[in-house]
Amino acid sequence: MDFTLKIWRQSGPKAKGRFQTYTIGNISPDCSFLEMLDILNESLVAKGEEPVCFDHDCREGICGMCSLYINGHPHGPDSQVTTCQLHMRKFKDGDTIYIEPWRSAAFPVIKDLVVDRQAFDKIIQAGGFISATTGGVPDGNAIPIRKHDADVAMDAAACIGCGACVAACKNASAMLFVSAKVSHLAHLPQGKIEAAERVKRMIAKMDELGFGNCTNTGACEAECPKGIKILHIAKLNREFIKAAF
Amino acid sequence: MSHFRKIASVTQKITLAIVGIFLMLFLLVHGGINLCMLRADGGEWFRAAAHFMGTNYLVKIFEVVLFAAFLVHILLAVILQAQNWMARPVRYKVPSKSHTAAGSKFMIYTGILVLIFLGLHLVNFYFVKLGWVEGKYMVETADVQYADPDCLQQNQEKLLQLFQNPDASALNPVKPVADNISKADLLQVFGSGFTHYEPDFYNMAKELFNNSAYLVIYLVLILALGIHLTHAFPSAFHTLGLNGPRADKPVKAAGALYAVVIVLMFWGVAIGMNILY
Repeated sequence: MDFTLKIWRQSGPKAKGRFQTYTIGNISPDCSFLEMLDILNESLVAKGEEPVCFDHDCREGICGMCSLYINGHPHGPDSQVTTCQLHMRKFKDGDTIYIEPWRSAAFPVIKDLVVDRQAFDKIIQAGGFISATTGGVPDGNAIPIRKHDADVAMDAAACIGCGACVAACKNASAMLFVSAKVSHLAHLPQGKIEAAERVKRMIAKMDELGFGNCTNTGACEAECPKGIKILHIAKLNREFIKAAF
Repeated sequence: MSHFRKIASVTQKITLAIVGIFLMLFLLVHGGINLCMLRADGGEWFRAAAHFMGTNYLVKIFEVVLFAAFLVHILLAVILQAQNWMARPVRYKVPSKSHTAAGSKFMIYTGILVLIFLGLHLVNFYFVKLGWVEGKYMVETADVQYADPDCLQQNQEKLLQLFQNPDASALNPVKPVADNISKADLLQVFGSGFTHYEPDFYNMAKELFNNSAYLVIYLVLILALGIHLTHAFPSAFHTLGLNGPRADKPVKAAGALYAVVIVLMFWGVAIGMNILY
């Protein structure tokens, strides 16, 4: 398969970026999107040019490291997959593919397609944890948890913190990410103890870092590679209101 | 802006949602009263409703609450939207192709159209009540006694004309009120010191709805309101945390139904007044 790639190139955080056009041919339909970029980079290195920088790690769709805003979709046009799990067969031969970094004031571009997602770590540090003293491993059934709550908490815990929700949201809001963390812990007895403090602190941090406000459009839910539902945002709002009393 | 940042974004949104729900309830009341115009009684029911809304003390308190609600809703929406725009200083080359809820991406734009409509509406009706803009007026028979006797004497013929009903098909052939009076006639017949008159909203609405240009603008702006409401209703529930797996579909359906009912109610009156009267 042959493609025309329009890739955002930016040499540093303060540098002025621009789109550069590359043509790439003889790509297998079974090639993953990142492998296609690897092939491009090999050819660039062979020509003595600077390779395109992009984030990646596990390439199994579970680490949340890969990003890329591809033709108007975070993680590309396929649903519920990360960019590393996206295959070139999802495109048509001869397609022009625009590749952009996540765009958000809270996620500044470091280089090319790599953005700084430490803002998410800061939100987690603000309250996305349980401050229980660790001891021996307790029996798994020592604390009974309702099946429904365990399921919902597990669904929320599937969030890998990739930032696609922020990238997809027209307001660059981090509400889906924050709600997944808040909802995950608020559904479990261990997390309920600090639920009120957690939701207030995480929202305050999210606001402080310059993320936008949720307008319930649902773009985040549509693009989340882990299928996190925006109903978790309703849960977050409930937790926030509860925290006021 | 930084001062507003100290109020949690979710608190701002919850306030926006609560105020929005109040405005949605107001729309139902307003639409209901408008429907009275369609009754073939020369505006009798509508006038009674408008009179009640204009004079009842409880309603007058709610009038202040309503204006405050509009102000808070607009102010918060603008502040939140400005923050949203600032959150993405560099825009994407390829616009988002993500699937989103109906109307949800255009809330600020449909909101601006509704604000334009609100301005138009205030100039056409509310400012007449305040006396800032000239409109049409009506006078009840019982209130003629407060008029300037000299003016009445001089304009007796005109006075009789004002109180005669030109519409024989109306339910009440003897009009208890003289309506559709211009400011000039009002001053001439009843004297400049006469205050016992009310704005004649029925005839002002009738005239506007029979103006094709105004009718088209009205229908388009009401449609914008409908699009705004389609997302507003479920979004408010979501922001207030009242949504869940079981409530999700009913809430969305109720939102769509509410928006359709509001649009049809206001469109029905506008088109009905144009065709029928």
